[in-house]
Amino acid sequence: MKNWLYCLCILPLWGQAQGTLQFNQVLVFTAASGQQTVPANKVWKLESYSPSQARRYTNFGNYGTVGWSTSNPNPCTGATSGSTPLNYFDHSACPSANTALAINGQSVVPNSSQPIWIPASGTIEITANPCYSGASVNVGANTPVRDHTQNTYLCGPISINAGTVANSPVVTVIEFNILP
Amino acid sequence: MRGFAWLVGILLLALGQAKLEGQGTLQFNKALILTSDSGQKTVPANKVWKVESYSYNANLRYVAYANWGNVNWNSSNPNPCTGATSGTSNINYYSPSQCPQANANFFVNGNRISGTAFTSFPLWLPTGVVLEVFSNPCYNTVSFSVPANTPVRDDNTNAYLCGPINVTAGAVPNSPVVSILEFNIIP
Repeated sequence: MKNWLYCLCILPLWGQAQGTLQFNQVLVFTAASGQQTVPANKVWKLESYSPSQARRYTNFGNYGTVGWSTSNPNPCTGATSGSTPLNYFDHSACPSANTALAINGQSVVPNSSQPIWIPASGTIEITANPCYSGASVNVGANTPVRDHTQNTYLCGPISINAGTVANSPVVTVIEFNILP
Repeated sequence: MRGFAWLVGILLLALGQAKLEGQGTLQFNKALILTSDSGQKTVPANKVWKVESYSYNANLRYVAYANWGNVNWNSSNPNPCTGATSGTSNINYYSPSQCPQANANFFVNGNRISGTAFTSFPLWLPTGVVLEVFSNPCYNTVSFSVPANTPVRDDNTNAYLCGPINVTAGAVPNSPVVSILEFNIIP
């Protein structure tokens, strides 16, 4: 009798547990992820899209001697007098043309509206352009260097390797289990 | 003792009843994506829809692909495939433009509610409300393939990109994407 009463009482609680979303994992997608498909019994919530801010470096060489002053102090010591022979580097933004976010094959304007809930078997795909640095930049610690693009003086260490630059937007997604 | 068990049982039943009286709660049922391919959709009986977002289409249509000529690489325009700041390459170009967005619309019960901006979220929609997404057909008029590690000019942005880039002539998906959550109404 007591067991029967107990079952009667918890039945409504069971009913309420249906169809809830249970956090499963957080996912980060980039162009390297390829096309991703929402698994069965899951739902994805696309929370954010961060455009790439990658830079490509094109030159690193000798700039000559720079005199430090109150309007242009030595970036490593703060000295407002004296002079230092130093190097410079150039850089520019990696190309963003053709970068795309596709939901179910539809290329959408990123960040035009969020969140985007994607059901099982829906797809997300990010495409981005290859980007390359043509110059390696190696500035030692406590060594002033000129950022020629920004027309400013920085302090090392700065290390840039020539070659491929990661140039993908970053998409964050929360995956939920659908509890039956 | 037997009387006490009955009392506890009745109390538990009362608590269960209190839970049952929590009528009209919303229970997640599923997520939906609507595009212009979805056609007209109606909120089913005993459901409510919550429109979470409306993302505009960003697709491009490609209309030309041909030889551009020689391009000199320099520090302000490095070779996009190697980063080289000197040398010359003979390259092709392509011309894309935005797929037309005029007439891309989102209708609720026949009322157009998307315009140049649609940021009023969420939209809660009851049973029987009809939704439809419209978009314009869009077509690529050229096919081309830029091989890997081959520079190409994007004539739309005056930028030089690196292959592979593959475009096929024909229809281009051009729909807004509407994200919806469907809830059951628990009586």
